[in-house]
Amino acid sequence: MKILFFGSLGERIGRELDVALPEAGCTVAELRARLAEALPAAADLLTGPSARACIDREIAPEEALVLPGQEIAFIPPLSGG
Amino acid sequence: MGSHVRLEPAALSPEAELAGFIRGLDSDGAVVSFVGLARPADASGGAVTGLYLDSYPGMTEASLSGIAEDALGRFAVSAVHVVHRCGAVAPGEAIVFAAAAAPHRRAAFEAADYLMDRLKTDAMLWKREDGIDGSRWIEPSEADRADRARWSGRCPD
Repeated sequence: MKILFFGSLGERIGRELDVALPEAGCTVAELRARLAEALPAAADLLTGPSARACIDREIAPEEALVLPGQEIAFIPPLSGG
Repeated sequence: MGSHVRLEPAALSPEAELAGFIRGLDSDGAVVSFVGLARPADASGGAVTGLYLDSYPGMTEASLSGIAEDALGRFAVSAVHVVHRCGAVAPGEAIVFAAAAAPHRRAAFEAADYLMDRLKTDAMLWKREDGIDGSRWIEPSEADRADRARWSGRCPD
């Protein structure tokens, strides 16, 4: 499934990444660990507390379940204005 | 009337936004507007050649709408208007326009202040400052978080 990245994460990783997910899904924390393993150059950004996960456009906690077909994004701290 | 928000990929004209906002009002007695401009220098005085605002299509607009609706619900204002740039912004260009209209001025001042504090920390946008010595992604400062906390008593994250 496609994972989206924004801001500094998007610059480091690219806007989209295709990742295989178990059919039963996995938690946000598990997905983070998988991504960090697949992207060692971005592991620090992905596993740090400042990168938050969004599931179907809602910010999601670490224990939330990620299922195939959902829209998943990782976002760094916001800076508008 | 009500709230109007827009994520703008092209140039933003504060004059046109303000004129349009005022034209749409009915019986308000006060309008307060704020314009944020891209600074030509960074926090340490280095030259900034441009800003880049990354956005999450759909979610960014929803975050702007949520902030505008919160302002409408919180203050005695009849209309709020927010336009935020995305993409490349040159120094001196407007990045954000935020305005509030109310029967009386106090609520309009407070709502505009609130809109900007929320936009700095809660708008789904990511700002990169490009300079001659490289680029850096901006994160909300302690001052930004403190400004945001004035309205809630706690930080959003």
